[in-house]
Amino acid sequence: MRTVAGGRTLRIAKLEIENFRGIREGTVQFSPHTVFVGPNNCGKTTVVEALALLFGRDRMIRQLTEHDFYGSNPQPPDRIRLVATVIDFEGNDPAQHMDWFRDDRGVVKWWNPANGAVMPARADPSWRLACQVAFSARFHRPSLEVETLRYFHDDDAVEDVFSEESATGFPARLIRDIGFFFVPAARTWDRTVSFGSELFRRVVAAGEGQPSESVLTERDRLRAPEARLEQDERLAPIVERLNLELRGFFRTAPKLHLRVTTTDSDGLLESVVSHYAHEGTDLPLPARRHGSGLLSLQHLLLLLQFGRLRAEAHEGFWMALEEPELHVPPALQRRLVHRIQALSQQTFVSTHSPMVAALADPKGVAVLRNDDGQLTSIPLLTSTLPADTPNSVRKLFQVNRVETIAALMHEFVLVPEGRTDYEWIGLLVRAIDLHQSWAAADECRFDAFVGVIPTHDGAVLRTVNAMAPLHPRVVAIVDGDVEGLGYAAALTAAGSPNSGVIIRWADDQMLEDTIGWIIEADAAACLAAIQIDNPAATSAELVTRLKSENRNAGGLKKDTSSYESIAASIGANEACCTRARSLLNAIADLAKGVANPLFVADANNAAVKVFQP
Amino acid sequence: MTIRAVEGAAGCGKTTRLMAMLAETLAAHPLTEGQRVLALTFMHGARRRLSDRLKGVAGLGGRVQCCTVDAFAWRIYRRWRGLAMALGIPAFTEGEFDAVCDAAGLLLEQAEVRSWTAMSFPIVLVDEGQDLRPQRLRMLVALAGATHAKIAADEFQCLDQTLRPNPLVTWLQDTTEPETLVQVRRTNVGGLLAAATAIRGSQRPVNGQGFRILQPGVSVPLAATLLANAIAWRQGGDVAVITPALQGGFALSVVARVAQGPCGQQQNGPYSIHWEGTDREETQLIVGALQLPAAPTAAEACAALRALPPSAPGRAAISWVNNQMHAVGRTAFAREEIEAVIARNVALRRQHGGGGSHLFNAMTVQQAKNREFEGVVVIWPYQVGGDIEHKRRLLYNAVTRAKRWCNIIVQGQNILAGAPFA
Repeated sequence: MRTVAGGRTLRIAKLEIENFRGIREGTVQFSPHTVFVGPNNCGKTTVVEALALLFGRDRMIRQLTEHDFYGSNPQPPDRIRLVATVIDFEGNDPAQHMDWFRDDRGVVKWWNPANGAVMPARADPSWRLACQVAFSARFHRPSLEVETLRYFHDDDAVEDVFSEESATGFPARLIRDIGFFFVPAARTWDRTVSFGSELFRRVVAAGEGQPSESVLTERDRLRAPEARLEQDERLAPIVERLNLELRGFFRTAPKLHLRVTTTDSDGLLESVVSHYAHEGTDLPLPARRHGSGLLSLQHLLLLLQFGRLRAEAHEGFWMALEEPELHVPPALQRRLVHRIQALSQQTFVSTHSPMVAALADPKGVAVLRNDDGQLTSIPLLTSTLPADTPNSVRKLFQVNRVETIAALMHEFVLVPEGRTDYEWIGLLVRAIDLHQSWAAADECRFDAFVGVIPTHDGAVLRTVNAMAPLHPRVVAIVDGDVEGLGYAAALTAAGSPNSGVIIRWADDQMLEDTIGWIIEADAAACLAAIQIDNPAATSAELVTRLKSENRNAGGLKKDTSSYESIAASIGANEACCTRARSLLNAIADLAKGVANPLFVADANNAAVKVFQP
Repeated sequence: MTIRAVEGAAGCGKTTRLMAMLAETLAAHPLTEGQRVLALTFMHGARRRLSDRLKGVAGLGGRVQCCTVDAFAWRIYRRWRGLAMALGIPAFTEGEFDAVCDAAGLLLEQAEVRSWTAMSFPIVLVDEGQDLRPQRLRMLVALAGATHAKIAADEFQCLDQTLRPNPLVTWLQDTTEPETLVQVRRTNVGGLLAAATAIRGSQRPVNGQGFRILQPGVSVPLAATLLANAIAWRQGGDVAVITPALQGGFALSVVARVAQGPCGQQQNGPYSIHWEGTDREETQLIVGALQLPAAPTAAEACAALRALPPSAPGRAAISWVNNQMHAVGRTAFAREEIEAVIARNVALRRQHGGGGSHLFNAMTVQQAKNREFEGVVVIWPYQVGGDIEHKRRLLYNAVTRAKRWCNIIVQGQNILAGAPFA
């Protein structure tokens, strides 16, 4: 638990979502600094926007439409319902938190940290005081409007808040106290650092720095400018004629004056535009002329200043940030994420960047998955990882977590037998990509759909099991040797993997043999192009050497630079490249459950699809 | 936490004393942000009057939640339903008043709920505490453990025969030493004071200054003449016609006769006297005119409600039906539930003002409780139920509503031969 000295410590323990966007139902538990990862459309943005609906200021709440309801066709009784459980009230004593617990606020609940359940009475001293806040929305057909309500959630049996009108509203005052800020991925920020932006005004006001005297002085100067536009020699005749005309209509003879603002302080603040001058340049340029990097950053930095002020004033600061990797180079991402986490009580970050996700404590990385509207959220590394978990599996969540997270963001997750397979598949994908044209036939669909796990030490069974809770479509690929057959049999016996798809190389073969098969497409040309010591004369020789680690005998196993050279030659050779592509596409097809002529079902085990070179 | 109570006969200024106690407590323990005073009464009319009195209390500034005990009980039960379920309390509906109060009492006995309520309402005020049934007293006892409780009561003004001995008075005697007020402030008219004292002391009330038992109104025209004369000669001010029983229709007939035209030799009248209806009567009036099958469709229900003479509860029922259609997607309804919605809205409207003010009003003793009028005419028919003690209390409650004068019209000579008149 993170504690802001003497101040607010509140955080959200969990969020229940019903009927919102692509989520029919789901629960997400949060750690103090949560980073959401997962494939596209798994609900990352939905979760963050749900928090904004619950805790964001009114102006942050976009008008909802039918499309915000699950299925996009809300019937009268359908409701979007979001329930958040707020915990970490200091002392766990409701009497100390009257702004949350009283007759016109919430009722007392208790959160069980062991299972995340919220109970009406405290049965164990480890349970923490909790308050539940809800958001509900319905589509009112006669007016075609979505009606929304934020209220204290008394219990799950509560009748419909719209038909009973009995809910206790969640007051704007608490929303201010919480200080929830949401930086969406769609950033239209060019005017952000202007006094006109509410954020900037609040930052300045929070620091008691409202520069009101300067503003008023500038306002007065603008009311009576030294050089008056209307007196310009070319403009003056027009203005004079206009004034004459006006005199014909109004007894008071109005005269035109041109001013650059509305000559009140509000107009002045609205007109202020941030400019930046880089070192060595005299003339500052408006922020929007500087490129999106600076623009994105200035907003975030301003928010962080605001967060700092709130922290100093012992006020809350929760921050939701979508895709911090946008516009910010990797080096800054790291700094940014760390700054945000250091200054906020709680952060909610959604990301498509495995690097950003890997910055966080692995316990804070939540993998979201959406199975037909059923949302689940699993911490990347649950503290319940069995004690006997071998290092080979542990590594996936630690040193290799960038790769693991990257794989989990795909529609399908492929678990190969070992590191070599992982590396070879990656090399083939890159080699093909480099030579990809716009022709549809050239398209390699593999990388768009399938993410590969860097399995260690042939721990295919363990790895498949470790990935199963994190992803609904895990595919295993094993060798055609005795061990591989054993893995395949063990997996099938355990009803694993969850996709039901096991891929196996041809009998007595492994991936290196398949590389040989690819080269066979145009062996002479391809082998000649491979830049290695003692070039192989035949593909069979190359395969043998690829399987051997004996460097004295020309063994190439785990020789990365040779791998790269071979892959480059495959990519550069049209026939080989086509074969490699057809292989990868075949694997993608199998993952999707589509039959592909390169693989046939094992006669002994129909779940296993065997490569037929 | 403290419990302070005030007892005293009718008109001694118990409510005034309660307000003074409240002001003292507020001065010693000012409300913090978000806190309010909880003021509980039994009837909606009393709630309105108490609410008016509270406006004058120094240091309160409108920070008061004034509601009926039943409404408060429902609120507690509804908000803590999760805990109620965990405690094994069955589900109740709003109309099951005693059960809901008992459940709220049980909830308030839980330290968490009690302290949550006390945080919101550190001061609890109860007027007319003698009317608390055990289920409601349970709530007060629980709350008193965590709040500053201020209670006004007069056992003799309790009109519920099942509350003897009075539960609240018994509890107060064991818990605190109530202040007793002896000086009647409502009136200083000698005959009125003497009559009230006599009735309370099981004595025969005798005619005196301001208090007269008129000749029996043995027929409706005679009783109407007596009533019309009393009104005509009253020398200004409002008048309440108070009856202990509507059964038999005597009081209704007399009031109707006075409205028809001049009465008796003196030809006093006509006077239009407004009968204060009950929720039930007003509901009946609306529901009776409702042309609705037992299981109407939404369109039928709306059409039937629109065909009614315009009324606020009728409009509220239309909007309820609309909401059920559009918010819940209902297309079929039951006549009973629409009637229930009308009844609920009649009650709601009466709770929040509703009903104009009239110079002459007619009402039951129950309805007159806790109120005062310049002049009172008691119409006492044959059909007054209850034991002698109960009848005394009925008469006492009626007579003590008067500030200047009180006349009594009994339906027959022999009534005067028995209690509470003899």
